[in-house]
Amino acid sequence: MPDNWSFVLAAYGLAALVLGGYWRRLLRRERELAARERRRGAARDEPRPAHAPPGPPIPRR
Amino acid sequence: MTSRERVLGWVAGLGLTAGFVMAFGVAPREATQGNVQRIMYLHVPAILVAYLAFGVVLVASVIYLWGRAAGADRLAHASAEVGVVFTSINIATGAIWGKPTWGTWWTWDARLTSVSIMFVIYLAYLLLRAMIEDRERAARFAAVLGIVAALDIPLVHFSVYWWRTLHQPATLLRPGSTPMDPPFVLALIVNLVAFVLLYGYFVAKRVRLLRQEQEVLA
Amino acid sequence: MTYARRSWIVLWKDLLSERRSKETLNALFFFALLLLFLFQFALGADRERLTAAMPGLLWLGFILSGLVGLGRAFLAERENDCWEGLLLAPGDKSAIYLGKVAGNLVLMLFVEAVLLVLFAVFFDVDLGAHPLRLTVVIGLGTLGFAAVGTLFAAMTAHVRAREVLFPVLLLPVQVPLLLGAVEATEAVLLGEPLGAVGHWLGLLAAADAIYLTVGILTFDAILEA
Repeated sequence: MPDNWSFVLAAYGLAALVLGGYWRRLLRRERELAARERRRGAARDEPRPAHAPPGPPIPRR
Repeated sequence: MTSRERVLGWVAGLGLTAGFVMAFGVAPREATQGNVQRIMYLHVPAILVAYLAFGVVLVASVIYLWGRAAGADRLAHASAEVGVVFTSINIATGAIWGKPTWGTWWTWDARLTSVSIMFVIYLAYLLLRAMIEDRERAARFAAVLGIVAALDIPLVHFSVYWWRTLHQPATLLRPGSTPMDPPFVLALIVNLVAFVLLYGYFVAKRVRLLRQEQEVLA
Repeated sequence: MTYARRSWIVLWKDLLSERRSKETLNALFFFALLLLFLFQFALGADRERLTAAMPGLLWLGFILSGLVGLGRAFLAERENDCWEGLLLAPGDKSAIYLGKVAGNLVLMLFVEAVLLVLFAVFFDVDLGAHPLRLTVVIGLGTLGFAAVGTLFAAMTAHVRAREVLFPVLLLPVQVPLLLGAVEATEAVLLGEPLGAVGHWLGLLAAADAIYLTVGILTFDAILEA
């Protein structure tokens, strides 16, 4: 039976990609939320204009 | 709060490293399949963790419908999402293993089919959540679907198993003597523990993020 | 009012409004006829091939027409603002669920009977050999389908993209029903006794019981505004 190292590599690489991708997605969401929290905290101190421009759209995947 | 999460993340990372070392350094080359068998150390723990995740979804859904605790809903949501991630890893690695071993990426064999049906069911679960804006209503409906989906898994399993089977029987969970040698089992268990830790880390993080999202959007 | 009576009233209301408007039933009969054409075009005129695929085609027809019919199960309540009426109904809400399931079951059995006749005529299938066995199999399969379909129809009634979401939720969940029903139907059409497919009938019955139980226990949570 041949060893098929390329398949082993592909499997581990793909798994790393999927898990890493999900992890990065969580981290990015975390950063976005933190930024939003900061903005909200800043906005609370000063009076808000009647038509406050909405924040940048949250990219979704 | 996040410090505990960070510790869990580091422990999971260490576990994954240990599992990697076990899979490639300690476990010997399998005699009949060759080194391609090392994919099993990803493939099998991934599906076991996915079952764990969907079990958690079931329990959290029941708890939510019982007492309407928002935390239970967040746990169900996070667990389903992470479970889908692990199921996708199981399916992808299974296909990669199947190509050199069975000669095909995909066959409609019993376990492949039942796992992919489970995958689709929980994708639909996440879709339902994404499509309902009202959070409280989404939580109620998702809880019902979470219960139906979990109870459906054994039905899917048996029906597909009777429908056709070609897969080798699950070697780890079969009662009685395991035909695998200790180093193989040890490598598998180390990887399983690492994956469970990783699952815990992901779910803890996702639950916290969901809570923050709900606070920000409230 | 007893529990059974409340279920019966929901069933009677649905059947009566269907009998008067014939909205769903007429469309479904026509849809069933169209399906026949589709199957014929998809598989060609080869009789052997059609016969081999017959049980699967039959259930495909049942499920597609069921999807169309079940998707409309809560349409009347939603469009005529009667949802509050359901909410205000006294007593255990699961009675409403059972009434709705019964209504959908009747509707689907109607359409299935028509489909069977159409199949028998146009594809020259001998369906009359074991009518009782066939009834048992179709009844068990349809009951589970109606039970879980009613639950999901109530769930998706308020979602914007319900036409998409309803089949996406329902189809994967009812795969065991489909497999069991197709295999059992195939055996019955081949003239085998029901005992030969006992495990499939057991699976269908178990699925029916599970879906009905979950539906009864959780319908309250779905009906809430």
